[in-house]
Amino acid sequence: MLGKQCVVLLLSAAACTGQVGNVEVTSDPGPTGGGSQGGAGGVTPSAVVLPAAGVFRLTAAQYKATLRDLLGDEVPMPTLERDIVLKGFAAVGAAGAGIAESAAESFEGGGSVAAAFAFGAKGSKRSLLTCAGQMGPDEACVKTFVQSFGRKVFRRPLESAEQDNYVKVWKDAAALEKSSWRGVELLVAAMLQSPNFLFRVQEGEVDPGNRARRRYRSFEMADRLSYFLWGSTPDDALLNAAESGALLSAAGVAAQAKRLAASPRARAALANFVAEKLDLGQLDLISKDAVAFPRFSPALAATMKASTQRLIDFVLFEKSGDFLDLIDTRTTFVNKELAAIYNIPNITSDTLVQATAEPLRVGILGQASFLAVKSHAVKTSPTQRGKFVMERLLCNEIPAPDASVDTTVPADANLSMRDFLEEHRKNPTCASCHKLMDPIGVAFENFDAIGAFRTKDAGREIDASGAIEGKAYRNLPELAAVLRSSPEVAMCVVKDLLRYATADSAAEQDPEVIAELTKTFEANGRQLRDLAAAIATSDSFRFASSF
Amino acid sequence: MQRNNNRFSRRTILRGVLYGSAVQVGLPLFEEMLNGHGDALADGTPIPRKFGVWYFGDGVRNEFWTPKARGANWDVTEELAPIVNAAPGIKEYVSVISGMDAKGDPYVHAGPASAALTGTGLDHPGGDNGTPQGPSIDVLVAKEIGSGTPFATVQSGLYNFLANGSAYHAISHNGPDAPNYPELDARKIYNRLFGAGSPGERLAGNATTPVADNTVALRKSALDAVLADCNRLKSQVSSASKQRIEQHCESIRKIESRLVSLPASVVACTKPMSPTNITDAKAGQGLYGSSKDYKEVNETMSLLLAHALVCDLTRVFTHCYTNPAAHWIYDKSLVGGGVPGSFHELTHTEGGTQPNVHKGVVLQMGHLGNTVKVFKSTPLGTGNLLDYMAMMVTSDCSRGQNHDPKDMPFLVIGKAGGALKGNVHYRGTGESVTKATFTAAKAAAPQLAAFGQGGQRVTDVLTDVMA
Repeated sequence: MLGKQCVVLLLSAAACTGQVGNVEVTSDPGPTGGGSQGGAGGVTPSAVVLPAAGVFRLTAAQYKATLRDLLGDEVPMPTLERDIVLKGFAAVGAAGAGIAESAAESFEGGGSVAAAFAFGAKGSKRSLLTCAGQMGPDEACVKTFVQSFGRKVFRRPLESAEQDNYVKVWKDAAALEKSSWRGVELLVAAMLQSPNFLFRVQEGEVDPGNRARRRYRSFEMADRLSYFLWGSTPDDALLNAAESGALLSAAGVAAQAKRLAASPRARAALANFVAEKLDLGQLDLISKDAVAFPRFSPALAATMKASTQRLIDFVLFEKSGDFLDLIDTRTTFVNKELAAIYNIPNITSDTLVQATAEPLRVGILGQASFLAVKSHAVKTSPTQRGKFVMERLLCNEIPAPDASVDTTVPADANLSMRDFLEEHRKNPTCASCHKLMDPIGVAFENFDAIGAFRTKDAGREIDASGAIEGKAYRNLPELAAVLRSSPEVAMCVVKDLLRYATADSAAEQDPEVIAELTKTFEANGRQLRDLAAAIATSDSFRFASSF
Repeated sequence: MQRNNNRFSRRTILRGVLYGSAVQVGLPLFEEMLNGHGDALADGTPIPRKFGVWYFGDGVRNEFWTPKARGANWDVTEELAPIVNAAPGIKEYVSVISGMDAKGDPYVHAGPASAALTGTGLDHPGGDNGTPQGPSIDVLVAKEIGSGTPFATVQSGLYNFLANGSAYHAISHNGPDAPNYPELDARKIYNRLFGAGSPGERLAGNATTPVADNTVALRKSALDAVLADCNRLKSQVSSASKQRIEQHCESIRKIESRLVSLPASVVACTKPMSPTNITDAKAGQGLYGSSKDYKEVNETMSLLLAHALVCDLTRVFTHCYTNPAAHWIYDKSLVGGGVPGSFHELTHTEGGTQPNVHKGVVLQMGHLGNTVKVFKSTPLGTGNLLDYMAMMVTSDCSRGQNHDPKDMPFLVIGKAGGALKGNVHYRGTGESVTKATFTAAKAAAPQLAAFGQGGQRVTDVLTDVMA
């Protein structure tokens, strides 16, 4: 089966730069995977390997969703610095990210603009402060607002010193501007720059039931559940559950996890997870050669991204489908520009409409989004495409080439991409890694660097055939069928979602945890919502390793 | 040291030609602000030195880059010609350092970039693309010479390719995973330095104290509250988290200090013209598009940097002309047909001696020449901005074709207040490139004691380049 092959490939990959102890080896669920990495504090070898506690900066997506939840959907958004993406996810990068001066400036400006909107003519200030009188809120009203709104912003009740701090901002500003509303605006602008808002404090405390690990405090757990399952700030029900102390118990967490995962709000957050897994963010930044691809534009790239996002939502949530349906679905969503790339006739719509893809284009791997991102400006990149399959679908990391590798490539314009790669692999140093990627990548050769179908490359008929562990495929649909039958794809979703949820790679290194969650995932027809709820109630999510 | 001896009158202006129309750069330092010799401020303090990094990705063709002769007055090569030919007299300011190797992690592009810029290896390299393990040289220099200016460092840039780790995005770092990203939109750079309420605007208005309107008081009040939160939170979190919270506190303090204080060494400064020539499309070329407008955008940013430096809004900058592994699209109109794809792609796919890669390097160095020309045309003290500056120029490899970390391209431009000779070619024998970086940095910040970590750490400079 494919699993064994992947282990072999993996070990070869680790060896291909002579590295020893590649981190991904330990992530493999096989017999060498171990599970004995007990954290500090005397965790027994049989215990789960727990992720680290810490302080997580809001990602750009989390910041925006939170701002909308706090001040309304129309609130203007600042331009934010790009997230640091680690292990495929911005959430993992956020666990180590700080706030540089330029970022602090963006948050200052963004908070001010958002607050000015909310308390300006178009905002809904009276619904935010229902206690406000004709002339604006008085001090008692503002104090109540600081408590209630502050609890949403900081995701916990404010200490009395903190309340005084913000009431003072109101008082000073209101006096200076001779307007109570302006005072409220300023205090909200200040709250939106606070580290208590911009950082999610997830430090936990020593678990009284097992002093070798940390448990998350009740409000920290509310924050944790909400940002994992909704990608945004907790609602009142969740904060109330936290206030009652319910989120310190497994049952309390389970009840809320179930509620949040079933909510329509989980749909966008989990779709965002899949989008990150598929690297769709790169569509914001790719460029193509204008002579080779006159049809390509930033607008087309945005359509490609939106099309794949729509497909994810359709398959996983509208149809409540099996996650693996994403691998081989023939359904796609196109507007007239994308339909032209996909050779789908009679589409005149400017917006995305459902369609059936051409015969050799299946699933997310047949989406122009993936094919264009994993290409160069003119040429395709079977290497990047194959690497994506290996790393992001099968969770086997290929090490980057080191600088001692001569990357000079054969320069013959008459070679097809397949021939070019085969020529390239005659160099044994290159072949040691490229043999793991390129043979998979050639299965996509029927699609050019913007994802348009083609039958020829450099004047020759395209040969997209290959094999993984004796399972031959002639083209993309057949490769998709092989992948669909592989248990690694589902297991890789489990690992990725666990990493996304905990912002740490530690838990996925525990084969028992992965096996258990994968079993649950498989048993539920690979429903992403159910997997998310299972992860949220697992010990890996509820507890952290000791400091 | 050689100096231009032209004294200038109060009404002296610089005319820089920008896309056909004249741009006036006002004289920032009035004569009465200088001492009798014009080479120091009136109170006897030397005119502050400046430090810069001008960075480009994907390397060079060494055979067209490196001068043959060593020592003074190096022979002009094809790829260096566009720099020194940009204006008369530039070569006097340009020293070439060759034969230095990036010794850090062996990962392509990001490894040598991290070596030259930070003297450290990479955290989480490979699939995550890495982040340097230590702060970059501009941040280290700014700690020594930039603490009194409104902006410790200023980051500009033209192109920034998307990858995961910060080592590919940012050439300036406060530390691991703490990048200072380049700002690709010249309009935003202008607004930050010279726009409404900025220190530059106040300086240009000859205001010696901040405008005491409500805006400043309101912002200060909000920032005070944030700072109180910051200090409280810092005391409540684990030691690992504390540092990151402290960085936020520091950022808040810096923003607040810009509101209420002005640089001490300058009492007058003139705003540059607002870069109305920069459209969304031109700003967006940092992400999409061809290099068609790079010349114009680069010149606009160079003018803004020149103003910021002379006004003492900052003493340190990085200009990420293009980033490590830059994928900018080669504009065909500049080099003729037959050039496929992005510049990065070209470095790996073109055969032979790579004539089109060579053309691309020449193109980029022409833009560097324009930056140097702008700086040289900016009067300061008894000479021009270059007389007080040390600007290092380097890349993420030598030959892009095979990501070669040996014989890195490296220039030091400027005289750094007399610390640098200029017009020297020093050829090393495979020493760490950190020594070249440290030499440029030390010229601007003599207080620096060392640079780099582990095997890349250096404490001595290349004396051949120093005056």
